Amino acid sequence: MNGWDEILSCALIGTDKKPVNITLLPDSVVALLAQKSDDNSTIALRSAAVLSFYNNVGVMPKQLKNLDFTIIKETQIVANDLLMLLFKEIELANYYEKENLLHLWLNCLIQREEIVQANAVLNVINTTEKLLVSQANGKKVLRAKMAKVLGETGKRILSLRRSNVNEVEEVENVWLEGKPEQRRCFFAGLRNDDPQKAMELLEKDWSMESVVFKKSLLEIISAPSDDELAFIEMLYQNEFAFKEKEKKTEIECRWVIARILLHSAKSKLYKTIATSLLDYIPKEKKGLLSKIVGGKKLKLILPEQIDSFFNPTFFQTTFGVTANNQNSAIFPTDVTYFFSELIALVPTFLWTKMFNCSAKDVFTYFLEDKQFKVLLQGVSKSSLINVVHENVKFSKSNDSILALLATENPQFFFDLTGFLSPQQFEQFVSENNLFTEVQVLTQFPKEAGVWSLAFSKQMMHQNYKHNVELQQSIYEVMTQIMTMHLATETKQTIDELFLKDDDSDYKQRWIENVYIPINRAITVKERLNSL
Amino acid sequence: LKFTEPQIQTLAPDDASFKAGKGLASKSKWLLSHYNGRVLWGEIKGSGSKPYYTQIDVQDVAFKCSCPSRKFPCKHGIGLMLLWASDPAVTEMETEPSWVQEWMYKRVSKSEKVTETKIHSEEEQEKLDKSKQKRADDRIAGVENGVTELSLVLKDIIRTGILTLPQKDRSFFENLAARMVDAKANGLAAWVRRLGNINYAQENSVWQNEALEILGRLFLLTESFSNLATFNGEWQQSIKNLLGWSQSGKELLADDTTEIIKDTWIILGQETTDLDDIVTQRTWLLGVSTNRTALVLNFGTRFSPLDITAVSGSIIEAGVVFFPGVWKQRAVIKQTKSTLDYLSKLPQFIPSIIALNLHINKILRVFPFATDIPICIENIRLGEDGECFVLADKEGFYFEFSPSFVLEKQLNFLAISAGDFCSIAGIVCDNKILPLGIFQNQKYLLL
Repeated sequence: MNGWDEILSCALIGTDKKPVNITLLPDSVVALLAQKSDDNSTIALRSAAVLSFYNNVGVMPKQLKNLDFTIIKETQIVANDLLMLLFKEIELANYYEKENLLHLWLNCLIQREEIVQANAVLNVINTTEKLLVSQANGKKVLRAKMAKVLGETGKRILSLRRSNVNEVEEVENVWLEGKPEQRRCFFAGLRNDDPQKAMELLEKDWSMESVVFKKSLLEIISAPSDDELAFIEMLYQNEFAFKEKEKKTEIECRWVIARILLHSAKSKLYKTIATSLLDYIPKEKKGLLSKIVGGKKLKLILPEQIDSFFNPTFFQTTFGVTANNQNSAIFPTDVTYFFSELIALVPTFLWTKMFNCSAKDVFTYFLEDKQFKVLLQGVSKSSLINVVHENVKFSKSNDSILALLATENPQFFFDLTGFLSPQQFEQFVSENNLFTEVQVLTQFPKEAGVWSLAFSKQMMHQNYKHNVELQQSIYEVMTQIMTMHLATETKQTIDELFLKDDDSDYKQRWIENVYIPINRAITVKERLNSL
Repeated sequence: LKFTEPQIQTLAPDDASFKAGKGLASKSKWLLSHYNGRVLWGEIKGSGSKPYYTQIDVQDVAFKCSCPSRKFPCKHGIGLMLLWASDPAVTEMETEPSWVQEWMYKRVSKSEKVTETKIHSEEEQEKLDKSKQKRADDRIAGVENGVTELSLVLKDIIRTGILTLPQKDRSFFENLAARMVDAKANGLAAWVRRLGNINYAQENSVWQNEALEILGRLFLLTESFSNLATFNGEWQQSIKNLLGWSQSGKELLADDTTEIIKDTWIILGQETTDLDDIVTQRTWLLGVSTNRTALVLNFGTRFSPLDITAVSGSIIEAGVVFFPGVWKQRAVIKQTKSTLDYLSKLPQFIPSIIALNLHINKILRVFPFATDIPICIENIRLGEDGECFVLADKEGFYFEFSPSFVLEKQLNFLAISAGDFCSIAGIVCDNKILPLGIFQNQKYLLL
């Protein structure tokens, strides 16, 4: 270099130890130094000053070896200014209304097969990434939608933002190359859209899958087709039949398979178990029992000791149930433990057929009968409540859900209301006056769209009426739900409520927390629809 | 002029205020909101019985709000601007309410007063001159003391070796900087702080070169001051400025002899730094026809907010006056006639990185202390040097990005330019570039 190294080497250890050798400096610098009679430190500083200036002005810029840089070409239509303006409005929304509005906006773009304007790409990514979502997989769904509207520019940017690389990674053939979760989702979707193809895929690749993944696939299957049933029966009799030495996951697979088979009246297992259970119904009263409506006389006589049916070996080999009763506080005997496991596996219709009664009678019996009650922390509770809940959740049978919700303590089963049809849901909420019950309202399935106008109006009125007593957090959740599902025709109703003569602070709270966000949501919906 | 959201963001005092302002950018939150050619105003319900009155002078940008917030502009000002930017529901109204008229009247009369100069009697003038001279002498004496002390410290460091720098406690640099501030040599204090702020944990070759360069520059500054009398007036002024002498914008505006450069000025960008409770805002301008660049400095404290004279990214027809100096950059906006949405003419661009290098060298030859050089360059695009993005031209010559041009901004640049060649404006400092905006379709978009 031009003497800089010499100056630096002296400066590092100090000019006391190493004075600058000026003969190593450029002539112009030496000439400059010669005009002054400086000490060693001043010579070093003066040279550093001059040479650092030389270094700054005398160096050529660096040159890239690789000149390739891909120019991004968009093939899709870019969204118009009106759509982008709507996005800006969504950005201004409260966090609890943003998620729904963003979904609507993204849906609109996807439907129009358009992409966001280039200068908004980062904003769309950041808004989506920073959003607090209401459901566990909400972010994933939102990201997937976002990826569809970002175009090539967005794809490039996402690939450069390391944290997102895995999340939006697109795989050409998900079934062959995807991650387990992606493959699982793919299979679930395919089973809905093309059951035949899903079955073919399952049979073709089954032998190559790991046991853990097999279990996750089996968990998707409910209400199997005849082909699926045959395949599952084959698995039950061969691959997952009881073996002396078996892995924990294999036992769990047997449990999953047994549940599927028991939920199908055509299966051999169902028939065997239905027959076996008849032994526990008191025979002498059977005739009389069938005539009693309301099911109060339902009775099962469970053995006091383990027998040929309620015994560890049978349950392990047949159902994949762990032999040990690990919760003696809830299940005082092994028989009650095995019975609870059976409730988890056996469908409601088996009991209704066996007792010749309604589903509500069956649930009332399991949840209210003394023989199933236990005292937990001073409260008498049915030991079967959780298994009944799990069973109905698996079957997703509307009749069973409605029957369960008609029992004495429906609040334990509010999460199941999400499986009801929109009409059934609205009816249940209206009949039980649950308009401010967030636990229920949050269950209304997003994909079901909007509530009926009558229900939407009722919701608005009830929300306005209960304004005073609702907590802020509940209020926000309610607004979030309403922005999602209120019919746009409700605008007139909220405007009427807005104009209602009421000067209280609560009215102001309602305006800020309900009126403004809902008005915005309806406006955005209307504008999106009009585009 | 309707501000864009990125422009409004640059006006916000902090992210929290901008976010709060965004929350208020909804028509339903405002009791009324109107604008006319010169002012934007609105009423919003606050915690009291009376609404807050918010007003914005949109020509000679200024804010006023009756809310008690110390932030400037407050969230209401930001909210109203955002509302105006995004919602056509803010309606035009020729007649201003009395509270708006009153404020605008005061503003107009104040700006007229600025140009008026008070006439003193001969005796008064002599007294004033004397006290001014005394203050100037005292200042020189103070700075001389600071320079002498700093020269000794520099020599000590170089005598004992810069390898001792990483071991020095932070207080060594802080105390030295504080003594330079006491000596009224703030410019030297800033360089001392920079020496202390070097990342001594990084690779040896990097910090050692950086430290020696700063020591060299500091020495050059102290030497220049010691030889001040040997320089001409412009050089003396420039050296004094570098050491911390301030220049009065008011005096410059009042001086009728100063040349006013009238042009269409693009507000290229802004940077705000906060040090010792003093907020410094640097605004870079570019004259489209004259190709002159300018730097407008604004200072604010907790009790006197920044005077917002220009909005980043906007285009104004204005007159600009420059302070004297070797490399005339620091300036004041004297008259703003109007604001424009589009550029009717594009500025003269530097055609390549090599030409940019020559341009920088030319300036450095004139004034070796020049930093933060505003430039406009065309035919450049993003390039990749290993894992880093750089600004490259067609031949592959490139400048690295300044550390403040963070990845998020680089990605925004990629999104807007689509990786293709484009024209940008930016600031070159220490052989690195900080892009400020991109020219697209006769518009200037902030990056």
